[in-house]
Amino acid sequence: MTFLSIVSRGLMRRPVRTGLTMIGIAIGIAAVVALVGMSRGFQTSWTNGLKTRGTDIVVSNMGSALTPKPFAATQADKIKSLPHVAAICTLMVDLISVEKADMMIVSARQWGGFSWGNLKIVSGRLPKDEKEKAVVLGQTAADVLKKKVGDTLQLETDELQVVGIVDGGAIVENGSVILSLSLYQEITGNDGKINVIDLRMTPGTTKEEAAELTERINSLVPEAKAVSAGDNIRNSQGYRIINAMSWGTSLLAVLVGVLGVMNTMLMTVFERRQEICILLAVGWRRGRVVRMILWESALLGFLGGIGGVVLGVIGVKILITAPAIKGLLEPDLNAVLLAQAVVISVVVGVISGLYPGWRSSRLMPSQALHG
Amino acid sequence: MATTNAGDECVFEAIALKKEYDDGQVQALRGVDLRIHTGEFVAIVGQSGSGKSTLLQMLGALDHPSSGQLLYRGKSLEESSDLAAYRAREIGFIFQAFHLLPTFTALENVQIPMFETSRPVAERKTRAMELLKAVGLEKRVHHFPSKLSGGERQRVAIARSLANGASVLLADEPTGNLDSENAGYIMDLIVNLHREHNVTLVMVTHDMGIAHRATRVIAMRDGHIVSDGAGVPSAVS
Amino acid sequence: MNPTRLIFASLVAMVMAVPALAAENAAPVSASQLASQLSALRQDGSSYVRLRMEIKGGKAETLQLQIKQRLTRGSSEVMYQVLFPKERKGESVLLKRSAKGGASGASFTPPNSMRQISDLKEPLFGSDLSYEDVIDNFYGWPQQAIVGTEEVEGVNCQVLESKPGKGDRSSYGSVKSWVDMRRMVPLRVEKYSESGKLVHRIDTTRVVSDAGHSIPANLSVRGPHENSTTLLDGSRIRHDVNFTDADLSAEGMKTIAIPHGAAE
Repeated sequence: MTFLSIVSRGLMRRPVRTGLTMIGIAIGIAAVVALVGMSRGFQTSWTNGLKTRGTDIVVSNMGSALTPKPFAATQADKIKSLPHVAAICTLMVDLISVEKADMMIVSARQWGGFSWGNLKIVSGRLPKDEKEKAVVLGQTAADVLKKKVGDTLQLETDELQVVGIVDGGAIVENGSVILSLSLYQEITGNDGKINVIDLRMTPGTTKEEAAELTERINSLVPEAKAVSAGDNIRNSQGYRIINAMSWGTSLLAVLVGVLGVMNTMLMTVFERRQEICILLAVGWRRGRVVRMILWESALLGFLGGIGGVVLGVIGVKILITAPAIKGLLEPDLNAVLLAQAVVISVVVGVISGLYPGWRSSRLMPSQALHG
Repeated sequence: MATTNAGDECVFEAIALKKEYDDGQVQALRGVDLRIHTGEFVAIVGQSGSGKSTLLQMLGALDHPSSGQLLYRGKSLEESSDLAAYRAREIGFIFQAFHLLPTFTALENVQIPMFETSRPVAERKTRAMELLKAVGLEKRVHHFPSKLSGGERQRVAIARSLANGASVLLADEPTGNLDSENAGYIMDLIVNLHREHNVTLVMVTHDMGIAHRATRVIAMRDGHIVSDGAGVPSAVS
Repeated sequence: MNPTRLIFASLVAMVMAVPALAAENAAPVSASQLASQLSALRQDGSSYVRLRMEIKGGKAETLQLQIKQRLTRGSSEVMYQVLFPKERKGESVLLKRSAKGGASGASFTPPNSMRQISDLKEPLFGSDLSYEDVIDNFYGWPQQAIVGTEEVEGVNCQVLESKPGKGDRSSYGSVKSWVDMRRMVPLRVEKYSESGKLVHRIDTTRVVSDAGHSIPANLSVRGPHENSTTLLDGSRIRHDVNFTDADLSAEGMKTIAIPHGAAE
């Protein structure tokens, strides 16, 4: 018999209570995994989307309007000839409800721009020219909208032909309705307006040169802000809010878990008062008794954490099939996050065991003889 | 005060030992002076509330005295920095209510005190097996306390008290919860331990029959020692 | 990139159901001040709105609509047009209310069926909203009273009761609004008949920030029919759109073109 078997035996005394406490922690940890995984996944998805489009720097408005704030397409001309700029592609990126779908990314791209380059045709073709009343759909977007090549798609006031289904290589791209910029400008009445400029730098551009370039763009185009593709999302106020909120909500859930474990461990200490006194009476040091309680609550946290990770991963998998989010993001459930979740859970267990452990160390062994 | 010296070395020495509870409203021990020597079998008798169990707890360092001094082999227990080690290695405790841990088997219960020693896992198990064999429970080692009879439980408790080779056994009414047959068996076991291993035995009991087997009987009343000597004091019997 | 905000806002509303932040204690205002503030926020000039209307229960249907509206202090002109589904594309409703309180309206169904609306209590495109609900500005009614405070979804709200004057010709006896004073947004509106029966309940399910103001982006409308709910999800708003009189006329109803060159 090892110390660990004593610890696990302590938990098995009340299997129902232990189980319920574990479920409590598991739910908290599942919230951590789901919320943080989703918000991180959003960042990764979006960054991957930019990367597959071959974008190094994004120039867009970081205002706080309902939709991205458009600016004059002529602003792009100022950027085009700057040093280290290999190519630019102007876009109008929108997030609107299309037909029966709740929210769809509409990505209208400058005809001939490099952002078209990463699209692999799965079926059909790309639009013939920028004036053809046609769209191509990312695979997920086609799924969500229930469209195939040859169908029509109502975009704002116009009926457009679905001419192709494409694989964009990233979840954001696959969830998009993609069409020519000038066509979308016409449909939405935003003639001459864009809200995003994708910029590709010349190969071999150093970090310092890139930083200098963004600075120059920012002074040339005050209506928008240039940021490197990776920073783009992280700099967004929305992302920060969501990230803070997901951690906030998670911590709240974890706090509930802490209280649950603490309650269980306190009950354990009260219930096993006599047992603890016997342990002290037969010569156990107080430190060992405290360690036993802490290990029990840590083990409870660990098992709850494992359960929470499993629950969280399953939950996320179910969640992303919801029509509201399908195609918008891919959760980032990497091993580090999952490990973090388990570590949090164990720490929660240990913290929750501190007070009950302290209580147990205050007991006098003579109390074993009474009752 | 008369004393019966079984050996030269003094195991316990109590000087004006007092114990109060509830801010002095209850005085369990009112100044006890006592010396117990190596190899003695001391029975402490007295009515309920006489302070005999409290005295035993003080000897076992399960509680602190309110005042007075208690020396173990010449050293003050109060000043000892490691009472747990004292309880683990020097003392074996046998309780009336056995106090086994219900979620552990007989074999595991006997191993519990050994966690405070450096014995490796396998050796703990072997030692526990030997001890259980010595108390005649070799066939019941994997039983949980709930599956053992009262007598068997007390035998497990005795094996546990010997786990770390204690030189002093403190027994609080060890046969109080047993029928006469089992009580006789347990007493024989304890007395044999005392005799064969020269273990100092201090036993609290109501049972005058048991007290008769002791080499020395101390009678207590209202927190005082009222008689101390060989045989059962007439005041108590 | 800015769509992130919208995605996040939607995610927040749809997935996480995070309760709205508690309102701060705003300086006390009188009922008429509050009503006139809300009225001014509503009657804020010309705008173009795109929204999705989902009718649940009964005849379930999802519509994509555009709204062209000119709302001034004195008058209201509102045109609702169906963009989707295909079969209903082009259906339009034009409603007007003058300063004197008289409301009128017409509806158009392609290819050429035009009719005057005689009963403003008729439902708008088969939804739980009536024409009257669309054109009425109950914050402009003469009788306004604050009748208490109450929490809605964790937000402390002032409850404003509005009652129509004689000239308002409303079919409602009173309207109660639960107003989030911090964001100046009604989080719930209940409309009662003259006999005091609850006819409509409109809940704001998402609030977004638009040009420095908070506006309700998603609404859920219940009543008067049981088991039927209409969800309105706004996805785009443009202010200061230059509508001509012709745009908001019977002829204008026949075209669903998007106004060009408007500031967003």
